[in-house]
Amino acid sequence: MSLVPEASTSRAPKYCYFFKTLLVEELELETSYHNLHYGQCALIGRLAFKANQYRLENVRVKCLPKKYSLGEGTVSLLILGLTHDKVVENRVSTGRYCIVRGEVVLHNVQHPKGAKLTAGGVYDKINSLSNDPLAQKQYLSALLATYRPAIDLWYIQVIDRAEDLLTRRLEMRSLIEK
Amino acid sequence: MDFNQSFEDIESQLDNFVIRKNQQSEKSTGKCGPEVHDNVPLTISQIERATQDPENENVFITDDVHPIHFCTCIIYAFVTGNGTHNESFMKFMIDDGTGSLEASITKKPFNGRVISSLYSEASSLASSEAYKSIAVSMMRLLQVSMEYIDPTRISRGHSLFLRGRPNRFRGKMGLDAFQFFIDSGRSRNMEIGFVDYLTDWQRRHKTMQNTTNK
Repeated sequence: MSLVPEASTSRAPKYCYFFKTLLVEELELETSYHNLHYGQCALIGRLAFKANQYRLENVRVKCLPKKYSLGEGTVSLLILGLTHDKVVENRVSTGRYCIVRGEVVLHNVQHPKGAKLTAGGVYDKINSLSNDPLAQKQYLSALLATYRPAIDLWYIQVIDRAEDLLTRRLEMRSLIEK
Repeated sequence: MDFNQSFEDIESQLDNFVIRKNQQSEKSTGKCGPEVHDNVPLTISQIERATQDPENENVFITDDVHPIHFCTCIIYAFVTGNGTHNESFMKFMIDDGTGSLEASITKKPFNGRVISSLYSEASSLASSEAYKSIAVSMMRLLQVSMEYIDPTRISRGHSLFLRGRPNRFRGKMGLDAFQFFIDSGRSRNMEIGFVDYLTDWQRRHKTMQNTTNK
């Protein structure tokens, strides 16, 4: 499968204006950044604090067969905009299960204060280089080396029964994808 | 039994009522044509897709393959922001993970006034030793009941049950809600219960339609 999307505006990602339920795995393990979710999303996971950053660890997806579901805490996604003040204000703490709502972005890991990108922006850039496949590949390789998916936080809430809730929210998601 | 325990019991009974009421109140508007439902559990994406029945303006239809004809629906959603409130309605942006829309919740000022005056009556009775215990119970009950009719208590970050009907205004689909219930806190039992009920209801609906069409 080609890493580079076809030069067509019909496949351009559309901004998601609602908090679609996604898995931490779907964002953290996506390497084709033009295919990353574009817009708002809701993630269920366990809050962790690693290397001076708040991250959201995956929880087990109970409704998937064992061989397809990752164990809890196998992968984690960077949360942007979550400060110690907000943690106290929202009564969350590390190790607790949370639902995090926000916007999916690409975060520059080499220059954390640098501009954030989105899947829509990456797609447009690749499209603008459609007459130069080499430049497209170079651009994507540079992105993979510099940027990582992250969630720009809008809301965070502590929840219980995280695995059960995730199963139900995936059922709801399947209703819109039929 | 102390007062706190009594109120937990009452609240759990009310919660059960919210869930169970739907199954009992489904009704058909006529023997001919498709069955028209009330209090159907729906997702916001289904409300966004709903169209008005050309033969009956009170009836909405959603989903193409297994159409659901309904007058009123129940949804469970998260409050993401405030709309422009007015004298009669509080407006909130709500989101259930399948879509987002503006909900208008009626303020019902008359009901609020009735409960306030009953509360004043109960508090004046509480000064008499003979009626004190019953009056205090009444006051607590009336305080709880205000939570079910006063939408000013709703704020961003709450989760809500809403009962209402779709309303298309200037090309945008919204929801006019007649009743609400605030579900705050870390417990997700109500949300899980609602999704189970929604999926069961819609599965039964599909099975019924398949059986009827055979």
